[in-house]
Amino acid sequence: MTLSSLPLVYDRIFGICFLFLFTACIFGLVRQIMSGIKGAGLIPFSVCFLISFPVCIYFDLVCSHKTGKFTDLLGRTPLYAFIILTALLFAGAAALFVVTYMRIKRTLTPASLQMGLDGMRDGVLFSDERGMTVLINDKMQYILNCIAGAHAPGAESLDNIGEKELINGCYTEKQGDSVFLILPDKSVYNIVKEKTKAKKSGFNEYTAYDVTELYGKSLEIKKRNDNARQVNEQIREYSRKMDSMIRDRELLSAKIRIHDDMGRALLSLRSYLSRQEKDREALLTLWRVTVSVLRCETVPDVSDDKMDALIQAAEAVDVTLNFDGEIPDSDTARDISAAAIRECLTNTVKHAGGANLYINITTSDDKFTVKIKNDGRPPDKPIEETGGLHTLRETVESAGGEMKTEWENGFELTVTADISGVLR
Amino acid sequence: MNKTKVMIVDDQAISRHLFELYIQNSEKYELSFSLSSASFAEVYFLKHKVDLILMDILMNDGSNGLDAAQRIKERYPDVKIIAVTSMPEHSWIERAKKIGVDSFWYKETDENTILDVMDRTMAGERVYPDRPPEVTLGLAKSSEFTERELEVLRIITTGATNGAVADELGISENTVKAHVRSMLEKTGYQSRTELAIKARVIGITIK
Repeated sequence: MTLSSLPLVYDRIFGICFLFLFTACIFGLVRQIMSGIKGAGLIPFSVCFLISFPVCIYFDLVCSHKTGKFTDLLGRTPLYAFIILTALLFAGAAALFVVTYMRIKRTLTPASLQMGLDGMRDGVLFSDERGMTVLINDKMQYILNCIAGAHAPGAESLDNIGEKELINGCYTEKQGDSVFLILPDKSVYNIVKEKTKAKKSGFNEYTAYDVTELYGKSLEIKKRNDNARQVNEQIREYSRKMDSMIRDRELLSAKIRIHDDMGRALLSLRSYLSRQEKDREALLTLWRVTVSVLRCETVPDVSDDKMDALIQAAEAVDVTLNFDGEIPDSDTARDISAAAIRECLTNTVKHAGGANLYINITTSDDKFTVKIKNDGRPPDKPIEETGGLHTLRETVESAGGEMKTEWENGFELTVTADISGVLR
Repeated sequence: MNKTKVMIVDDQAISRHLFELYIQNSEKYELSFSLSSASFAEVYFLKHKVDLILMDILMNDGSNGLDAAQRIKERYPDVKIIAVTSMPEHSWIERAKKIGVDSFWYKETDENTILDVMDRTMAGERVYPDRPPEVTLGLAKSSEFTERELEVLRIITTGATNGAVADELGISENTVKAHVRSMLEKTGYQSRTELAIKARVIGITIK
């Protein structure tokens, strides 16, 4: 039996089947091409297509009663051979579809790559060396729409983002070397740009890392640190105030001791009066001390101004301090000035034999300068900074200040420092 | 007999006057100077002879008697110095010994009188208490704290952060936190701030 002996109904059935197969082969081929399969991979579907196409045409002609040389030729095919061929073709096509599906599933195609990138939390953009966008995911597209609108130029919008004006309420914040992009929905991204190469071509890879949670935590830490700094500053302030409270406490303690002494004196007096003991002088001394101290309780403590103490000390060593200008009202300025004057006073008495110290104080912006000279013998060689002068230099420089000594036209010390500096 | 020339350095008038009276009523001592600040005590030595100094440690004007004692001992090592204080700050005794201060006297709690300490010091003896007076900090006595804990506490009372304390002492921040936790457990205080303030008030650590 041959193919041409088939009844018409079978011709129609086979015709439909081969038309289906032919269509499926076209679909399979197109699918393979779209998935990037090339060369030898396309041969199986191509073979199926090339076989099913003429068979399809044969059955179409037979069913339309349009016989000719082509139909006569194919009609002579033994039926058993045709059935075997048909079975092989359909089985092969089915297998090809399965294999193609498995292969596509395992293959990273552009579509699958795009799908994968679109599923990421972070934004990704690849651009070529000219800045044209090659690949961008949904998140990055969303970010670009936020910061520069729907027609954002892509990579260009991301370069130097910290210096750009952004729209829609977006803004950037710099922390160290990192720039954070904050969007209107409060999400935070850290944009990183890297150069990469693929197939000898250079690309720029922009990644917008979603750091919303991390940023939120860093703000929380910053707030806690600010609070801690405030508390520490309050403790420092309290500590400064503590000094005066502690001195009051010392004073009270001294008074208590004196009153205790007075109590003992009273007891001793009673004992003396009752027993006529020989320690009369010691008892009277104790009384004199106690009464005098009680009288002294109404005498205020002397000034706690360092300069008053310095002037007194200078007078005690027969040196007069001549001030031109006022020392700025800061602890650092007073401490540094006092230390400098003390060193010069020592130098004036020990080496120069002077009777006057001239102290010139000037201020400008946040700095003050103290220049000190004496009227004694000028030095006969450069000043060696040992002992007190060396310590003074360390003190001044630790507060960020400068110190200079001159000797050729008489000893002169110049100290400059920040009024609000901090002595360490 | 030549009297011992004494300089008093104490910012409290009442304490100064008390010392002055003891000296004036003594046959062995003569008052040279009575100062309210330690800042310039050594200046007086440029033209005057002083044999003995009664040096208070904590001064009104921020000057520190031990700093002045150190300057004086460097330039005039033969001068005898007695450090006097009423504060139980632990580190001062050790520092005074290192500087070479000859004797140390607690104004309130010392069993010896100041005249007795002066006599023994001029005789060449070094009169030091065994330890600072014991004070109570919360539920703990000052003797219950270790040296390191007191060092940490001293810096904390200035308002420094744990990190700053760690840097100054050359230890890790976790170690600082452990010391603070230990002190809080010993004292029963609820917070680091409370511990710092109370320690400062009592004077167990002063920086």
